[in-house]
Amino acid sequence: MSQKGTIQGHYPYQDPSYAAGPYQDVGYADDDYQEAFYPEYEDQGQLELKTKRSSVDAWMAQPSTTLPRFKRRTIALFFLRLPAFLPWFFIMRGWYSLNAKDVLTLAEADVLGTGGEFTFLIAVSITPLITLTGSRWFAPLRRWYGIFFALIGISDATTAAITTSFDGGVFGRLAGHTFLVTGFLIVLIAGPVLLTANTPAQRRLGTYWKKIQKLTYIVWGMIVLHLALLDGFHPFDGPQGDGDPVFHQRFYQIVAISVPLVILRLPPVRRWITDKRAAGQQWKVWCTIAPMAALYLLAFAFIMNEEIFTGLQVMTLNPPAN
Amino acid sequence: MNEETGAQAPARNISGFLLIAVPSVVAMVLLILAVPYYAGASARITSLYTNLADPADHALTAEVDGYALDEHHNLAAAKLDLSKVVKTQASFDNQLGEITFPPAPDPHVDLLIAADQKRIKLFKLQMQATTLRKLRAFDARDEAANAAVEEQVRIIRQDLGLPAASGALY
Repeated sequence: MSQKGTIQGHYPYQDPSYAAGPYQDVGYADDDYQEAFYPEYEDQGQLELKTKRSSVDAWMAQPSTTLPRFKRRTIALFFLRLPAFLPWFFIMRGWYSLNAKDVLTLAEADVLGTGGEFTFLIAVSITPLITLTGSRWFAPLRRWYGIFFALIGISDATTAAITTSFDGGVFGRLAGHTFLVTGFLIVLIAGPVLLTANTPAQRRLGTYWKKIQKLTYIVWGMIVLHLALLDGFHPFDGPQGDGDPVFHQRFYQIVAISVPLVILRLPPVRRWITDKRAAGQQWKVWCTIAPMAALYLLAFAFIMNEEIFTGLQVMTLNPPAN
Repeated sequence: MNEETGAQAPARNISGFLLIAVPSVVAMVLLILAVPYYAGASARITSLYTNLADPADHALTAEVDGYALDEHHNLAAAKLDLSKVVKTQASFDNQLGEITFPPAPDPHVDLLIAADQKRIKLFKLQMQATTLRKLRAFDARDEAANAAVEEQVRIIRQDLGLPAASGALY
């Protein structure tokens, strides 16, 4: 990803002093700024250099005024990491009650599937957000949400293999329909990505590590395919809902979210954004991206709506009837 | 920035800008279309309700007429009619629970389902009658159970802007 003439030519992190520290870490496959090591591993001397790179990063690197023992970034990341537990929080009662009232049979995929979807989408949103804002203090969320996506996916597949009502035994419950096959493949492909999502694996695997992490893009395509097969152009559960079926349509949601994320990974787009930022015209970037960002947020709001609405139904052992 | 890079910059930048701007225009159009679509949600909820109520009413009319005839001379047929009524009502309730209604009719939907469940319980009890006389003895209680359902249906239909239903229909 460190090609000449790409965004990195414009980025101040390329200063070798940023990359020469003893705890240098390589970025993820989708990291445009891999020369910059992760904030967790910086020492004080490097911190001073890095504070120049973004006023927000510099502000986040300072100790909190209310909790001086912690940096602002540490506190912010703590709270931003919490939503990753939401799917397990919601499904816990279903597991604990051993599928009372068929709550897992009826709604586990809605809670854990949607949970896996939103954690994945947050993970792949981090790099475009770095491109857009120029800040990297939230970069560790990419690994965090990536790991949780895989773990939630594994728990989803395990629960589905035991509790769902598809014919054909465990195999039928995991792969008895085309959309189930794609879902199962997502979990299988996410396995190696999960196992290597740690710094020792990065160091040991060298250049192979990036190739393994690039499986993320295959997972992304499979998720889109999975939701297209699941919902098609009509919501999965038929005549129900709140009168806004298009907003609840999972395939439309992921397209609305994925399109801006893919566009913000294109080299000409990244160059245009960094050029504008360097020229002090960041507002032009925000104005241009605003409609896509609004659509992205709208789609995300409905994904979270599904997660919370169905999650509460599971928590109260009052699952949907279908 | 050297001269070569500077000369290439406009061409490079315009492609980057267009790659964002064109999908953004599409997104803007979609957002504009989303406003009237969202505003039409209540009409779609009404349509979801009538899509459930109309076939249920159609089936119930036939089943209740059948029961009204059979309760005087054919116990087995009357019980069969009652079981069909119960099945239709239970199916309606299940599907009704899947619709998320606006705040005004929403509590009445819960009350309607509860009233319907009570009526279904009564009908199931009635189906255990061993004679036509015992079967008909439930009719007064049936009327009271119907009235509870009708009251909630009347409020829901009013809130959804629908004309009142006749008799024990949805």
